[in-house]
Amino acid sequence: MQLDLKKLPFGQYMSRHLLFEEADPMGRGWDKGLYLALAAGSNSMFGGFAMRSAGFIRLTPLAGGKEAAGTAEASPSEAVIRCEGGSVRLAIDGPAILLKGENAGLKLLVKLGRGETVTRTKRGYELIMGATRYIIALKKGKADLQVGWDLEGLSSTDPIITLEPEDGVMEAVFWDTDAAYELPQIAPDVDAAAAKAKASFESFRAALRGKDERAAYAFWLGFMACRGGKLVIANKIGDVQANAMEQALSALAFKDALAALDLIGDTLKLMTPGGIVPAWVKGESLLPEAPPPLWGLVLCRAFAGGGIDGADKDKLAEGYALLTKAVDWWVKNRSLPDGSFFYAYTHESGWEGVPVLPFGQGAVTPDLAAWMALNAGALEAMAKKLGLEKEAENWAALMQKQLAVLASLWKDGKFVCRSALTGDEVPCPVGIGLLPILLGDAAPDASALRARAEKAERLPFEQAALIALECPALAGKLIAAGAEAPGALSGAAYRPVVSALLLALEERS
Amino acid sequence: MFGTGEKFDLTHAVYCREGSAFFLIENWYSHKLQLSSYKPGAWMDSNAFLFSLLTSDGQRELDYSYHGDPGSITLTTMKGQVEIIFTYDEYARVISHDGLSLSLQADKYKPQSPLNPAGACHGACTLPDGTTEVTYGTYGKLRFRPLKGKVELSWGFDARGTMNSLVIRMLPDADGELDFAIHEAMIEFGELPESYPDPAALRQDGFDRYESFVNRVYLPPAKGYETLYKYATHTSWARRTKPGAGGIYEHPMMLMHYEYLGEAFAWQQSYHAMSMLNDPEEAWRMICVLFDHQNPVTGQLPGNVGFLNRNAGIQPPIQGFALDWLIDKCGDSFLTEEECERMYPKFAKWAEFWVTQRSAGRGDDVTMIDNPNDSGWDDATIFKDGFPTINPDLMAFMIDLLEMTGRLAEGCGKKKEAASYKARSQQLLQTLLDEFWDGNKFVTLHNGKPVDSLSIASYQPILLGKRLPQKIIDRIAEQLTEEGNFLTNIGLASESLHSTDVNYGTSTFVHGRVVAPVQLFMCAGLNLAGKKKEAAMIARRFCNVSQEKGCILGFPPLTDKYAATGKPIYIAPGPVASDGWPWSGWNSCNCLTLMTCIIPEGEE
Repeated sequence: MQLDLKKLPFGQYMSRHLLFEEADPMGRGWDKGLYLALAAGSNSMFGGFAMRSAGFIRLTPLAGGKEAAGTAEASPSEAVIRCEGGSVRLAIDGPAILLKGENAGLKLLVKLGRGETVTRTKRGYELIMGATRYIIALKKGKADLQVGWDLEGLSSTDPIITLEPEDGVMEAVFWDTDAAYELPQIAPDVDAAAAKAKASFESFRAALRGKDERAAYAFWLGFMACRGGKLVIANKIGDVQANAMEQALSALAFKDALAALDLIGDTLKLMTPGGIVPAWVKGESLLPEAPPPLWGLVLCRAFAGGGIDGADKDKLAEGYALLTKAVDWWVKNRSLPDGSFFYAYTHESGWEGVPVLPFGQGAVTPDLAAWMALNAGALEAMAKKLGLEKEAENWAALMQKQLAVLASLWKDGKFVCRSALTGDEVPCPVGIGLLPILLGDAAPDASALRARAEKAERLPFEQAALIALECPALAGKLIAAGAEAPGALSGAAYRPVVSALLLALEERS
Repeated sequence: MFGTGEKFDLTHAVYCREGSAFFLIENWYSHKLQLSSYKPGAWMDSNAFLFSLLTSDGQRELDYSYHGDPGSITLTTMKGQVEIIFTYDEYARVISHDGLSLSLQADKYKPQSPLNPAGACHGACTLPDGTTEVTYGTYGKLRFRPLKGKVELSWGFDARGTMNSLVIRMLPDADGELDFAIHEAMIEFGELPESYPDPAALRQDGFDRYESFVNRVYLPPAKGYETLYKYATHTSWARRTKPGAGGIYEHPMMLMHYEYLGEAFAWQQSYHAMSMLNDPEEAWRMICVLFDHQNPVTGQLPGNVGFLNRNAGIQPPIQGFALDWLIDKCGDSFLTEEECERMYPKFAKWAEFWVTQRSAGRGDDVTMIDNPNDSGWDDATIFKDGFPTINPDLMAFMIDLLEMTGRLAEGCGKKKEAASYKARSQQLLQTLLDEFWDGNKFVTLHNGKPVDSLSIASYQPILLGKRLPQKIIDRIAEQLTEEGNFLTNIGLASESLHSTDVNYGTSTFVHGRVVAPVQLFMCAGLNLAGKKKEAAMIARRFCNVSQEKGCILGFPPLTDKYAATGKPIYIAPGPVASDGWPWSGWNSCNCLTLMTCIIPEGEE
């Protein structure tokens, strides 16, 4: 598979390195060309995030020491930049990009933000960008740096680094590290790094429900180290944050129950001391707002058909404790005396633009009742597996209670939402009213919901994809539409979560 | 202290207090008070977590004047008063007995800003316990708890569903009584208290904490600076953070500002320490406080510590100098064996960070830097040729840091290590004298070549005091006291008035302005070098302007034309301070050192 670098960057699972082609589709005046980027919010001097194009090093091939026209192509494991008479191959191994030029070099035009600098050290040329140290280390060939200083801008100005071959060969490693400079052992050369990447990708694909290679690559690419876990980034170009809701949605792509449990577990480990799972994390920042509690939905599906049987008991126990704490937060902070749960804010539902009640009032909604029933179901299954019979009974009771709440919201063949403040009821928005379909036959009048789901239109993609898990016709439509986002920034056309959901839907269509 | 029509109002200063995240400013344009929190670290002119305070009698909005002191701030209308008490805990109390309401209206600082402050609100909800929560995403959350009265929300959305207005009204009860607790949290609320202290007790707590802190920590001021002392001590005290409270402060630290850069900047903690000469234990704690956040692998200290985040940047290794100053002024009784045992490894790791991660590659302890943050002289002309540079200003800090690391080693019985660090300090001093003194100043090297600069940074090694040869001390003192060179009517300019590479604009720092930390270094250095009268003379000039204009970080030495070029100076008058700089804890601590130590010692 060849990557269209204008739409999908060359990168790697758990690496921040990206190579993409800037086409400036939004007409913002950005210089077009081939760029290296890092999946990172660029820290400014005072800890904020700098605003700039995703690409920070523009690559131009050098032939005979002069700039040359070039082309770039890439597979999931290797990229190559060709120019007349030569080429530069690139492969990624975690924090390092390995480069090998044959009769060709590279000119690197570096774009730094305020307070960012470049300097020469014994390690190579170092770009100092907030906490990041980006090291350009030459192994074979010759290199040069031209740079100025903006006194009041407190920044290096337009550094230009040239890497040129000697005796026809240029070899370099670009490191993405921090001030501790702990550089791990990496593959010895481009070939070995490419082989390692290929094996990683194939292993990842084997755990997925779907076969689509591009979707699998976009999903694989989307993973990044985050606060001790491995999380799916919203988009490594342009939106470098891990959204809690997207972790749950993405985990639906795994047919391997342990892989799903790992992703849910890493999400729940982000919990605050009080038990809020942050809506997103990004570097050291987080949004301490509750996302929809979709974890039980994922785990119930992963555990179905014996998926729980192979689960490591310690891992299961850890997941059980985490999910229990997360559910407890809802019990303590978002439940009413009658046992129903409510969203205090529309964003807690995951559908921020879909108000269900007048501003200022919490809402008891059918989707939340369904999610809490599924959480209780997953916890019941885990408790049983762990031999916690009494707790399993309690979770079973919670599930039944939520099904009763759901039934109380089913009025005249449709769902309503109920004010947590006044008890007033209003019609439920269409999409939210369809989500209990994910309870299967436990939903009130499941067949009516399925029939209505087939006709649903103009729903947010993620909502439609959830509903489509129980509606093959809708799944087929979504798969046919594909994952590419029209009008996206260069390299940002394939969001990992969209690819993951389409992989999840493949077996449902 | 701060009030409508008083010497200082809140268009220039900030109303705040120790331990509270809340602050109030008077909007430069509308003259309404505006409320926010330092915790998100937002810059005020782009801060969407900002609320204008509106008072009403139920019929119409009422204009108000205000007066604030360490206990509370009172808004006075034609119909009565509303009092706001910031507390040491994570809430403010709002009280009125006059049938008045107080509303928080989502607002912005600059009227022409495209910011939509209500759009930053992620929702509001009245919860089953009767409180109303308003969430502002990464800015934090507010919880309005009516003790007497009720909350009423009004809001608006645009056609795209984005909130474009929000008002939170705290309304009195049927008896005209208004009593609210407004809780704030960045992440999540713990259990709210079952009951609240009497307002009088809360108010008194502010006064008690302020007076107790000031009396314990600071020496009295030189005669004539009583007013500046009052404002400077309050400015420092009010920027003292509360440990815990859901953040990462393990011990009290000092914020730079509330409305901009609302974080504890690394080296400023030591500047504060230098001002706390009545309580050397507290001063020593302030030198050490940054080590709570030391990187255990590299030994690096963060550039600044916010409520939730440490910045990966770096600030100069001032701690050795601050400790040297403290010992010179207070003796070393606070350096018990236990303290030396505790802090020696941390100082050593910090020193080794510099000599390894910033090594000039000469095989000695000379450092080379790539970034102005490492020296603190951000936009000084010593960096006009770029990087890397070898800086005498930084070498001076390193000489002190190595020596004081040796002092700590000595204090816990590590004689061999002590001798080693002291010898390295001596060797580095000799290198500084041999290779960097050109007969007039200490020169910065860029790629081995001297930088042609008229920055006062070239004299920073004066902070080594009597370690320097007398002829160097004399030559530096001569230049620093020469009228019209660096010395101006308001203190020392950061770039010589003779320089053509100078900018007094409000977005510059040490490109010519008279700024507080420069006064501190030069005056403290001269004082330690035995030039106490000269130090006091300079200190008086800066304290005079601070007493007149407030605890502002810096001032332009001239406002019409640059001395060397005759070109006009453009400084737009503007909000927050007389010329764009806000009140700052970085001014207050330096003024306190100048007026409680350097001036008295120089005029004895």
